[in-house]
Amino acid sequence: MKEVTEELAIVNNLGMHARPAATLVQTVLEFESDVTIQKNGREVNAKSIMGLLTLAAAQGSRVTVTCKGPDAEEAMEAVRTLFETGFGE
Amino acid sequence: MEIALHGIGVSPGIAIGPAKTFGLDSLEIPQYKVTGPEAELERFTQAVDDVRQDLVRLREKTAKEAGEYNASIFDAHIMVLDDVTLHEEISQRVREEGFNVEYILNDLISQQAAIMETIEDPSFRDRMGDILDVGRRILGRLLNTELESLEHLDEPAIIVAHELSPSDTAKIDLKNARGIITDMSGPTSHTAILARAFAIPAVVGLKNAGAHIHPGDTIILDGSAGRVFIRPNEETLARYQDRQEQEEQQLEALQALQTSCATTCTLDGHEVPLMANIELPVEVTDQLKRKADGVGLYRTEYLFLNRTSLPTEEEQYQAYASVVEAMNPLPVTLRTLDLGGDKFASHIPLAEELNPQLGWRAVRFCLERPDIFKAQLRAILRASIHGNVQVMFPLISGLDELLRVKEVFNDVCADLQRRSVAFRKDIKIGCMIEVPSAVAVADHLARNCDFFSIGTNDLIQYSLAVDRVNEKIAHMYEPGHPAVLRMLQQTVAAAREAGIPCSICGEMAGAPLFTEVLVGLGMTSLSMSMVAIPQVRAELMSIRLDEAKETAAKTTQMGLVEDVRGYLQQRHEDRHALQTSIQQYSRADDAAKVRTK
Repeated sequence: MKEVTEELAIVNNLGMHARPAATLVQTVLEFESDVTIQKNGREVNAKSIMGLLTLAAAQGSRVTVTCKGPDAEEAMEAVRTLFETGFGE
Repeated sequence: MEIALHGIGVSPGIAIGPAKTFGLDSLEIPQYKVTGPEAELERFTQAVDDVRQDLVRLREKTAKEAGEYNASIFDAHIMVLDDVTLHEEISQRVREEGFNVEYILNDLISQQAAIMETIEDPSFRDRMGDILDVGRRILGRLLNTELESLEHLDEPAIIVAHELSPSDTAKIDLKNARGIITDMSGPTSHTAILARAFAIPAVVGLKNAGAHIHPGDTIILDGSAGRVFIRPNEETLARYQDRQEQEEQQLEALQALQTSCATTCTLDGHEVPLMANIELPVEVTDQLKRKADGVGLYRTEYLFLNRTSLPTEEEQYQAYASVVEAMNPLPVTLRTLDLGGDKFASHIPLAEELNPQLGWRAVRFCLERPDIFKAQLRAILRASIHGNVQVMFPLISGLDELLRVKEVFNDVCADLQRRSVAFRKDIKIGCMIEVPSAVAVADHLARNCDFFSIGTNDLIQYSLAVDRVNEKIAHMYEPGHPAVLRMLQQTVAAAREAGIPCSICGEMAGAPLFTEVLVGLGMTSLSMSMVAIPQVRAELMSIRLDEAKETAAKTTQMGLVEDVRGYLQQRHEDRHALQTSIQQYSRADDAAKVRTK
């Protein structure tokens, strides 16, 4: 079982509100790995939109992403791209 | 024990009555042990599927009418239905605890709501509210009932809620709703708009009032001061009952005058139409048509506020047409979108501005977003065939801007014409005067539009550089400032020179103290909230045009605010004394008529 962890920053204007959170969920659902996101000591499942929204991650905040599973590296790659492109917004 | 709270007063007036608490907390959620968890989870899956169908339909409709981007907001809602955490937790808890699924779901919603409370950033909190709404939809399906509604109240009551959704507010039993208080919401929320529209006193933003209030508790609310008293002591109660009685007596006296001899003329026969400011189509009632000579300001922002997608052209058309048709043949002046600043549309990402009143709003916003602006103009033009419509543009700061706006307007007209869509080609277009620079170049503006409408709220705030929301300087916001009067004078002069009418649609128009000076300055009509019309009409009927002109000439020459105020106050009181004697006279006259019959 592979596990990778990275710290990523939220760059888009409005932070991780409903639309970016939905995009993130859709993306990680395609992978087998478990993906979790941690902010200020709270950890949520990245496949749960309710969880993601409770993080209230505004622009400029940093989160820790962990992918655990057979396709952990590919999942992390996809998540990183999303964060870096501001969730396509 | 009496509890006194302070919130944001969003609709004036005093209300006293028993509390009617509203919200999921007061809804009876059954709790019982189930024997087969599988059957229970099957019910849950079925309810989720039903709600998904509703949401998918809503998404398709939005995509067709407002485009894919606006529709994609529903993806988040649909996603909540399939949320792994939600399903896992429900399934696990139903199996472990053996309770019915409504009970478990409700518990989960409360937990999420509690987390939401701790989020400080309001934009995230609002979105969470949307998400919770999805949970409540599922709950509604499971209970197979419409969630509790405010449609039928058994007795006059004060509605107490944590928050009211637009659909809750739209259904409120207006006959029995004496007042509304909510923990959340702000001055531009749907609740606030509706409360003002129906003259129901309301205080919002009380944070945690709901927690102190039990159903049936006596509540006093003062919508002007934003104060709320829970279980008031006798002294407070007596004080507010007195005040309420006084206000009602004043209103009755005015209404009596209204029906006995209603004109909109001064004593010497000069006619000044009194128009109503409205925000919602439902405000157009028979009563409004009896009281007002038209709608002088129809604010269209409500269509854009408190929702997750933009209103479609069709939806706007329906709303505008209903108002125009109901008022016909009386005129309706629509103001195009005045969004931004203190108003905020949750679906248009507006960056936080340091100084929103001087920021990206109204026509500045519309010119940058021609898609939104043109859709609104098309809807207005299409509605024009149903009656007597005028359109005006807010926050014009100079000729360049007015010409750019007119260019867009002409484009839309040409486009409709090309597509053979019917509209009134003689529709009048007006310029709002609310930025001091517009006053300075009013002569240029007047030659390029069909009418002026002065928005005094903003004009005063910008001219005197006073933010009314700042308590330290709010007292400096002064409609009677000589500079304000001179600006009005200059604006009217430019309008007259160009031969166009000039009306006024700020709060100043609804204050009887200023009626004489406004008429004297040459305003051709006054537009105000409906509740102010009887008072202003009474005032108008007690002044003379020649004297009013003199008052205008005198006050615009004064240097001190205090002198202007004192002079207007004195004239107002003198007239009031006269008015009382007229009232007595007309009553005696009526009595005499009855006797001779």
